[in-house]
Amino acid sequence: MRFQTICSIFLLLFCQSLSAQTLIKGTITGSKNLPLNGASITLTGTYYGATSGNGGQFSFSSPDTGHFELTVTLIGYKKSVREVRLTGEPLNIDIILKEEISEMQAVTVSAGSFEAGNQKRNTVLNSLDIVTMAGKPADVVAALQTLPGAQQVGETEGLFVRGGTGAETKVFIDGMLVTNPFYSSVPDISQRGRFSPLLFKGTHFSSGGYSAQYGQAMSSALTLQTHDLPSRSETNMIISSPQLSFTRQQLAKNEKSSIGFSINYNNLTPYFAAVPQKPFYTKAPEIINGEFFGRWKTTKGMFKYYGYATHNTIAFHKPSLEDEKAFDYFSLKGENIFTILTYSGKINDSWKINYGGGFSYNKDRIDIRTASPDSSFSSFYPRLTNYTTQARLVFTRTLGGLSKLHFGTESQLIIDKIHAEDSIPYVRRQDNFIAAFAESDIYITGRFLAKPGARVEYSSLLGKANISPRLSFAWKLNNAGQISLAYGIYYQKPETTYLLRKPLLDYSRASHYIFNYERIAKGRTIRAELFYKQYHNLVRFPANNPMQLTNDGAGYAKGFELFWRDKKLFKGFDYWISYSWLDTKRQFLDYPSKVQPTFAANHTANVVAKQFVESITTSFSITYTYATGRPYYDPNLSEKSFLSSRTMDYHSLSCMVNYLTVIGKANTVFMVNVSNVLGNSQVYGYHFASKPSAGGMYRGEPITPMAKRFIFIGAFISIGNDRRKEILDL
Amino acid sequence: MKRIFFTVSIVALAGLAANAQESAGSTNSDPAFIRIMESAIQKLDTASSSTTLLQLGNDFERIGNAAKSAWQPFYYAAFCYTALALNTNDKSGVDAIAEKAAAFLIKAEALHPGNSEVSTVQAMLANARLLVDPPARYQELSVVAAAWLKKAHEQNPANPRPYLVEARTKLKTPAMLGGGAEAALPVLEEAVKKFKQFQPSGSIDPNWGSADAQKLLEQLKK
Repeated sequence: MRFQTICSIFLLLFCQSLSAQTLIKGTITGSKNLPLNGASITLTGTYYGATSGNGGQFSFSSPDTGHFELTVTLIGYKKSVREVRLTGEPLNIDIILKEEISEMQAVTVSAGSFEAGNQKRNTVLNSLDIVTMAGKPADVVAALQTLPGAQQVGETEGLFVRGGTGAETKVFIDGMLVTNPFYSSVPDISQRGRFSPLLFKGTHFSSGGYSAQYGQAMSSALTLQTHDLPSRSETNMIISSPQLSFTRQQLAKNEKSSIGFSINYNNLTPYFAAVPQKPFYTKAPEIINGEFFGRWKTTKGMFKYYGYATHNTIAFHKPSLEDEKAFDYFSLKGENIFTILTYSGKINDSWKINYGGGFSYNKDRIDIRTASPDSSFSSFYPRLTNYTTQARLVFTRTLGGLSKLHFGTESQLIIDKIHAEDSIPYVRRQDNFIAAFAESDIYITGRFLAKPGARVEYSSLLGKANISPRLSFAWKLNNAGQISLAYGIYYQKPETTYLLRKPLLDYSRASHYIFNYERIAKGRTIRAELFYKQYHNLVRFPANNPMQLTNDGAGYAKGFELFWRDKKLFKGFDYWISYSWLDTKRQFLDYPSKVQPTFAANHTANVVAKQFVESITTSFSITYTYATGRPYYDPNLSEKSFLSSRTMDYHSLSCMVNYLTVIGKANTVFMVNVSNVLGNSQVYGYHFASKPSAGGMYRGEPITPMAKRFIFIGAFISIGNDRRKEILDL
Repeated sequence: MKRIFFTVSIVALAGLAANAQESAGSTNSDPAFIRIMESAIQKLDTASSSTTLLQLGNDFERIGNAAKSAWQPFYYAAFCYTALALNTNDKSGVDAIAEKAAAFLIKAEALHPGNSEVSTVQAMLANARLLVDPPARYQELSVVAAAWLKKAHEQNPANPRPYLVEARTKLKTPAMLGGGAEAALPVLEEAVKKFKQFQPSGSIDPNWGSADAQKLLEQLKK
């Protein structure tokens, strides 16, 4: 009995192993017969399987019999499933895996496009790069000026891209238009952007050929994405030579929502007292602003609120060119409110929705006069007000794979008012602007993308509509290199100052043609770009009558740009070089002929280098900028030589040191930044008197920075509600 | 920084399996499942190469998909892929590996919510992602890692592993940023103390790190 039992058990085991152990082996390969190791081979629903080794080979046995699915998975490849029948006979199965291009790896259009973010793959700069940029720290625009395509214009704020004016670049936050992205213009002094780079998780700078989702910018679109929920509650403070700032962000216990506020106060009085500036300031720039943040995560998306309000004042005077005893006086009081509420989320698996609304308000009180102790030559006291109310709705539909269709609409109600005592009666312009757009990302393969799009716009003020086509392609040559092409027509309403003079103008128009090569591999990025742009219907007026506006202007821009960044040369060392060659001419405003405009330099180059020394947690960075001289008009020469004079070449070397440390519970960064360390003379252009003086010559003077150098000293303090330390103390 | 993490993860793996078998009892009643898990956990004992880690990660994934209701296979699969992410020299591939580890952690968390062990691996994974580009990612991901550790402490104050991970993180953080040996020492001592009292609830539940913590402490005290 006992013997029998043992026998039968033995037999049973023996039979099972004999009949059912099926050996499965084979080779896993990718395209071009390349063996793939590390692939997981599984008899679906069982514990049996293997991982392919070197040479792509695998083998395993299974005691099961019957029909099964054999699943093969590997990172970067599409899952392969095939039916197998296990009978006990060895199986030899060779499997070819198809490459799967994920959203992260898929080709994107790089023509005219610079991404700056922390997590995306195709980023050129990250937000830290912007904060730690030597020269003008924590200024988004100053950081973007080190990229190819942007001009070094020191006398006016804005991004001057590829022969375009600063007004030809528009700024968008979470898809919403920012009507006044910079502090209001002051003669000969470039103003900073209003928004801190720390607000944004992503920055996308387009130097041309941008998407149909945006419009009304003939040169360039700068799109900024605000942060999602903070990862913890946090208090941040900035104590620096020009600024005091306090920010508090509170994350709800359920981590689904957050609210926050910030108060910033800037005052340059102490700094200007210590370091003499060129215009005499009776009121050094003073800015006070407050911000509110709100985030609310729903089951399918997120609401974001951002509100900003500011008040700023500045007043100065300098010797006038018109009369030896006279002074030019300038003062500005500005108020600005910017507020947006946006939602971004999924409707279901194939539909996404983005919508938002916003309101902004800007008021500038400007006093300009030229006077000497005994007489007043001229005065002008304009009061400018802008109200912008906007709404935007965008749907995104996935079309299978990575392909997508975006379509949507936006509307803006823009009201501008001007009034100047004694000279300009009350003028009000209202524009009901609407636009609709559709654009598709069509992935013919993961390596080839076609992006056709179109945009229709209507402005009630101009009483005209336009249709602008956009088309781009990107083709990934291998894992690192790609080429892309972009084309588009870009319409833009004339600037507010011209619309206030005469509303019945036409859109100005630019056509872009861009060819780009980009290669990103192992910490190195190289980009080369060729572009050609045509301008039509630019605003013109005769020199003697600025009210007689027409759309007769035209022009072109063409050029070649290079960008090189290497993070792998030495440990902790990172540098980039950019070079732009620009050939542009235009006839617009009061230009008597087609000439190179004042804001365009033929050659511009930047070198940015950073070294982080881990042992002393200190980073050192430098920014060097070179630009060839820009045109200016010397009235002492004949009218034929309009804008034929050139300023001296521009050189600027700036240095910055950042020291990171922990004081108590606060992460602290100490920062010292010195712009133009070498003290090079910098001339942005020249001013001349409106009338010749006694000798028959027009008096002139160069436009220069306020002081040779600007020194910034500050501490950035961040305290998180992190209970780690409390836990440890227990 | 890289090297420390490499050795740390290897030592961790050695500890991982060594203790796993000593524990008794099981949460899953299927003996075949327990057996295959125990054998795979044992293999982690000797795992030193990326190849083995990947193999084991795939094994655990397979077991998890077949067993369906157990969280441990996905936990270990995530652990293997996280270790792989910390181990890989070519940082351009790390994000894809980390993504896979993150997917396993979501599965493990769904099967056993509020798990201190899963939160600990989440913290390790955040560190792995951080190391892809420390200057750019430090600010954001160091906070994420700290938040996961905090969660792990709260979910099970008796779990020594979050202390061990924290001590290692402190060790590789410059002293000026609140790290260094001096800051790591009390955390490590706490870890060792907790390891002495720690009892895993089953033979296939995480029980790694004790020997490693002890060894690290001896090194630090020298």
